Formats: sequence, C-alpha cells, structure tokens
Amino acid sequence: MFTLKEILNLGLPLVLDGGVLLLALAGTLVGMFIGAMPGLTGVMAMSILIPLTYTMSPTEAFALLLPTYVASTYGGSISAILLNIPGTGAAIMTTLDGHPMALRGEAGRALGLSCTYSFIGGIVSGLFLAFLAPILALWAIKLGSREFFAVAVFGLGIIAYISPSILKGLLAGSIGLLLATVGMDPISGYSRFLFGRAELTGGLEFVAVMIGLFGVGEIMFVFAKGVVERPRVQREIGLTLPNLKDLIKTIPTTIRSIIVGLFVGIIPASGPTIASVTAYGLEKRVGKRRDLLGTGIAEGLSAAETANNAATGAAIVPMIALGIPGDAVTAILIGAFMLHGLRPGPAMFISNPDIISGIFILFMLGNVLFFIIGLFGAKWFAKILDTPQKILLPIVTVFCFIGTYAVRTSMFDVFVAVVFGFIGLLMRRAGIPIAPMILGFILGPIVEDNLRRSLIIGGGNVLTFLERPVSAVLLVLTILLILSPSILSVLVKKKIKVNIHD
Amino acid sequence: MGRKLVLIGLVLMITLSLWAAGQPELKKVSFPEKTIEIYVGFAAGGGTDILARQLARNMEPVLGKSVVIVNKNGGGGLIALKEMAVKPADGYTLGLLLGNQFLQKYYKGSDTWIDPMTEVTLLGVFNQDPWGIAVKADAPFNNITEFIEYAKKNPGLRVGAGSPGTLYYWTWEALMEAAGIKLTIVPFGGTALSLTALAGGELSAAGASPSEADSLVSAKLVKMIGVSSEERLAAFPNVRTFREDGFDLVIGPWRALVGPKGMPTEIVKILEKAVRDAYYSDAFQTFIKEQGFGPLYLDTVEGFEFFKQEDTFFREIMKKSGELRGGM
Repeated sequence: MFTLKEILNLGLPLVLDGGVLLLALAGTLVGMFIGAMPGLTGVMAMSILIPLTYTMSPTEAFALLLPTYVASTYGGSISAILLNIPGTGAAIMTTLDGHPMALRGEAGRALGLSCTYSFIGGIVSGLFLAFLAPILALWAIKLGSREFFAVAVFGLGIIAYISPSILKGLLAGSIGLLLATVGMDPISGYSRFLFGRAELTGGLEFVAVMIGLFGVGEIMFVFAKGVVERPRVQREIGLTLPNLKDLIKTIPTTIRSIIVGLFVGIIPASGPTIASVTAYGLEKRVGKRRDLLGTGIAEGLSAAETANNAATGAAIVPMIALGIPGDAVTAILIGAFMLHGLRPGPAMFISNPDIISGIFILFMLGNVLFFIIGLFGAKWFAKILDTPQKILLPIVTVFCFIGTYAVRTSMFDVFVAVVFGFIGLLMRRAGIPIAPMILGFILGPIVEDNLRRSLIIGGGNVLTFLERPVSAVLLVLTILLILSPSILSVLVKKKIKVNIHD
Repeated sequence: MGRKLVLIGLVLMITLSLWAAGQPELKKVSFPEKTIEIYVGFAAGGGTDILARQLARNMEPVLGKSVVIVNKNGGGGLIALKEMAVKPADGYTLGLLLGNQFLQKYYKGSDTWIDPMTEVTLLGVFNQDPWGIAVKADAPFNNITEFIEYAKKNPGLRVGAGSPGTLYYWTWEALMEAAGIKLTIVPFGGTALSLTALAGGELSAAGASPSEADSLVSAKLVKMIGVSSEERLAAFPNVRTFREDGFDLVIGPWRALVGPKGMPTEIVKILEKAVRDAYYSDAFQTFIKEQGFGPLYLDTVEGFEFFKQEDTFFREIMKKSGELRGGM
C-alpha cells in the first residue's frame, strides 16, 4: 500500500526528467489534437504512438501514452462544442449543451467549462487510481480464475447495453467472441482456425483488428459517403477562463457525475463514453434544472465532461490491479506494459513500485497539462478542423498502416487491417455498432481461459463459481443485469393492471 | 519471339561467364559485408529479447558489422523462424531457436511447426535457463524430496504451468514420469500469472525460474524449493538443485542461434566463432550472471548432438502422454 509520500518518493525521480516531461507535453498536445479531430479517437492516437515507445523506458512510454489518453477524452469536446461534431465517442453528450451555448455566442464559456469539468473529473479519478488501486491490488492477489471469469462475464453482459439496438449489439459482440477464438487454444495448446498461417498462432493481432475497424473502416466510410467539407471555424476565441458562478451552481451535478464516472469507469467493458451517457441520463432524471438540459446549460456540460474524465482513471484501476483491460484504451496500455516485459497486476506493485508510482504521477500531470493548454490554446486547436478532409484523411490512412505494420513488422497484419477495414465499413453501413465487437474480441479470451482453468481447479464442477463470494455476487449481478428489462416490464405491467382495477 | 530467345541466351551467357570468372574469388568469402539481422519471435523487452540483444551487441566487435534485432513476435517464436527460414542462406538473416520448437514439432495440437533437425542451420547454443519449483512461503516442504513425498500422499496437487505449447508444461509431465506422482497441471498464460495464483492460494506449486519468482520471494509470499540445473545459479546461491537432494532431473528452456538451412560452411564457421566469442566475452558473462540467465555454450557439433537428444526426449514424452503427432 502506497502513501502519498511513497508515491512521490518512488515516482518523482522517474518523472522529473527533461525527456519524460517533454514527452508528457507532447502526449498532451497529440491527445488534444487527435481527440478534437472527428473520427480520430484517443484509442487510435495511442495505437499510433505505441510503436514509438518500443525503444523508450517504461516511464517514457507512459509519459507519452497517459497524457494522450486523458487529453484526448477532453479534446473530443472541442469539436463537439464548436461544430456539433463529437471528436470522440465520449463527447457525444457534450454536443447537446455545448453546441447550443456556442450558437448563442458563448463558445468561450462552453470551452472553458468543458476544460475545467474534464480537469476536475480527471484529477479526482487520478486520486482514486493512486489510493484505491493499491488496496484493490492487495485484495486482488486473493482473486483467482473464478473471479476473473465472473468479472469478464459481467463485462460481456454490458455489451448489449452500449448499443442503441440490443440485438445488433449482441450480434457484434458475438462476432468479436468468435474472432477471439482464432489462434492457439490457451489451455490445451491446440491450434484453431489457423488455415496454415503461422501468423495466426497467437490469434488475430489486436492492433490490426482495431485499426482496421475503427481507423480504416471509418475513413472508407467517410469517402464512400462522399467527402463533405465542414464549415470553417469562424469565431475568434481568446483566453477561455471558466465562469466561477457556473462552477459553484453546478457543484451537485459535478459530484454526482464524478461518482457515476468512477463507478462506470471501473467496470470492465465500460469506459468514458458509457460514463458520460449514464451521468447525462441521471441528470435528466434527478437534476434540479433537468427540463432545461439540451438548451445549453452548464449542468449538461458538467454531467458529460466530468463523468467521462472521471472514468479515465477508474478504467485503469482494474488493469493496474487485476491485469484486466476495461476497454480498448486500457487494452493498449496493457500492451505498452508487455512491450517492456511488465505484466500489470498485483505482482507489479511488489516488483515495480517505482513505475506504478510514476504512472500515478504522469496521469495527474496529463490532467494538469491539458487544463492549462486547453484554457490558453482552444482557438489554435480549433484551426485543425479547417484542414480539408481530402488532405487530412489520406495522411491518417498512411499512419494507420505504418502503425499496424510496426507492431511486429508484419505485412500480414496490414492485410488483416485492410480486411477489417472493409468489415468496419459494412458494419457502419448496416448500422451495426463497432464497440461491442472489439469488446467481445478483448473479453473472449479472458472468459474462455478463466472458465476452463476454473473448471480444472474445481475438478470439473460448474458450481465452483458459487463457492467464491466475489464470483457468486458478480454472476448474480450479471443475470440481474440481463433480466432486469424483462423483470421491470413485468412489474410495470402489474402496476398498470392494478391501476386499471382501481 | 526469336529476338527474345536471343536476348535470353545473351543474358544467360553473360551471367555464366561472370559466375565462372567470380568462382575462385567466392571461395574466400568476405563476410559480413553488411548488417546482420536476427529475427526474434518474442516481444521487445522480454527475457528472450534482452538476451538476444546482449548476444548481438557482443557479436558486433567480432564481426565488425552491426547485428540488429528484429522483433516478429508470436507463436512461441515460430513466426520469426518461419520467416527467417525462407530468406537466402547467406548469413545476413538469422533467428533464435528454442526448446519450444521441438514441442511444436511433436505435439499433435500444433498446426504449424518447423523441424529444428532439418529446416535450419545451427550456429551455436548460448543459454539454458533452469526450471524450478516455487511453492507458498508457508508450505510444509522445503526441497524436491519432501515435495514428492507430500505429492504421493496427496495425489492431484494443483501445479501451475504454461499451456501444453510451452516447455514449462512438459517439465511437470517429465517430473511426474520420473517421480511416479500424479499432479493436476493448471495451464496459465504466463509464469507471472501462475505465480500470482500460487501466492493467492489457488495452487500448491508453480513452475518458475528463480529470477521469475524473485519479486514474490522477496515479498515473502512464495519460496523456491529447487532448480533443475546441474549447478546452483550464481545469482541465486541459496536455491538448491534437484540433484543435491538426490533427484536427477536436469531440464530447462534453452536458446540457440540458427540460420536458414544450407548455409555455406565458411559463413557458418565465421558465425559460430562470433557466437562463441560473444558468449565468452566479459560483458555477456556479467550480464547473464546479473540477470539470472543460466549458462550453457555448445558449438555446432556439440549442439547438434544436444538437438538429437532433445528430439528423442520430446518425442518420447509426447508419445507417453498420448499427444504425439500422427506419422512422427
């Protein structure tokens, strides 16, 4: 268990280095830049940056990646506010109140608020990460295959709800699960679906699949639709200091959204996007000015932006503490650990306390940096959106392929990315969401691996999952989560019947 | 058509005469003339990668040219080897071969494999890590004999290993065979994971080298009861060998430098010397001592004899457990 003093003693010597600080600054700038560009997500920014970290020390790698992550979650709100186009998925809710504010000529106010709320959410989640992750880690060393299985199944249970259509969400999730079975069976070592290709022994390369679906697929989708140049950003925006009155007025919303963000963020398969949707949904139910939401009020920005950044740190907690990726971003961060021969999880707190402390500090640093740069540089970031898409997108395409190739210097992976680009295009055309598919792909091996290992440990008895309190509770929760809509509808029907009888 | 034939004939004649003129020169190869690449089938920063990088660094002064590592990870080193094997056998593209490759050759579960006996040219074996047994810090056994006694009284003890595609799985099989005990082997995605499960109480023991278990040993969560090397490791003088306790089992993952099959003898000689000189250099010896890698050097002749033994060993062990590939 680390105290603040230990974190500073162990981590600061690693972080206080010219190169590391410069990388953190670069990561923040790249994160804001990519986050603000519609269609380009923090996930993509990080997967492009990952090959650059091969030759770096772990601290340098995280100095680049963590600020990119947190800054991109904020950056998405810039284009959401100015152009009504969410820069990242996490900024979808930000458009609802941010853009109306900008239309009223209060773009400065909206940008300042969004930056400040993001900062507040991020810092609180950073504290949560630094002081709760160690507790979780010591507790987690007692957790085993049965608990990991239950956690991953809970994540799978959520997949259906992150899509507007449950059926399409389940369809995409199942395809992801199926794709995850390619490669060597984790328990018996038998080859599956290799088609004689040695490249597939370890399964489909995650980065290739991800860049294909999100990057190549999105770019093809834009070009297939026909490139429409966006309206130019016209307004001049100076220093965008937040209005103190707005901040004080929205304290209850901010606190609620922090709690929602932390809770949703820590659940695997969730993350900033679902956190902001949930927080906005909650505000819509309990907020004092809920009727005005959507007309451009500060509460709307607070709900969306505090929650999505509060989820950033929380999403890293299961990864640091359990070695389980909560979403695509943490999956990339796990990759960054592994590149440096580190395996996140309980053992790492004992083996590499300095790197863990450095990560906490870098996470905080990323939040501070985007806060400062965001308040001063919003108008410069907005200029990126003026780049014509027919110039911007080809450049991005090149980066996609370089990034994929560089993962393990494999042309095969580039072809995989192209194939998944077409799959991504078809899915977008058919209105099938991409996120459940990638989550199924990530969670599939965790579910399979731990299910089969648990059964070996439990001597083949399925009830072994109920012997452990954590796995029992999680599995029951998952069943409730899946059944709750039907239970609710039965209850509601009864109520209506009762009313009729009255 | 006629003109094309004449042209082809001309080109052939010129090529032939150039080849004939160059013949005596070619005998005295000047090698290397450019950078040598070693394909490593494991992620940058992993144990195999850092060891390969150290070897490459120490080969450079011998060869006078750069030796660079290219990571092509996946398939337990197989992807890199497969790509390397189809490159020209000119000594500029080399690869790493591990004990795993013999497993893949004989294990009926693996779809693709490479035959270390016929598909590569051996340039030298430069390391063998010990395999060891880690148990919970408060376990009632302190050496291999006590562990075997305990396992005899409690059949089906759960022990952690890698998947059957890895050497760590089959070392348990070999131990069960040699000691006549029955254990439940639980496969994990990596040694760190099985060590964590051991510390958490899911397992009675986990296969691990002393350096892999070191962080958990220092946290007083696990202890090492022995290693399968011939002698104690310099970095871990307190860890006993199985032999000391009267149990003769010497086994462990080894690493060798190889090239594509059919390499010219002159180039093999030059590279063999480079591996040997690199291995015995002070820098390499200090490195393996500090990092806890196990020492072993075998030249191409000794190495090939060693390969033959490994080949028989893995074939036998697969046959006994009913996992031998058909037709092998």
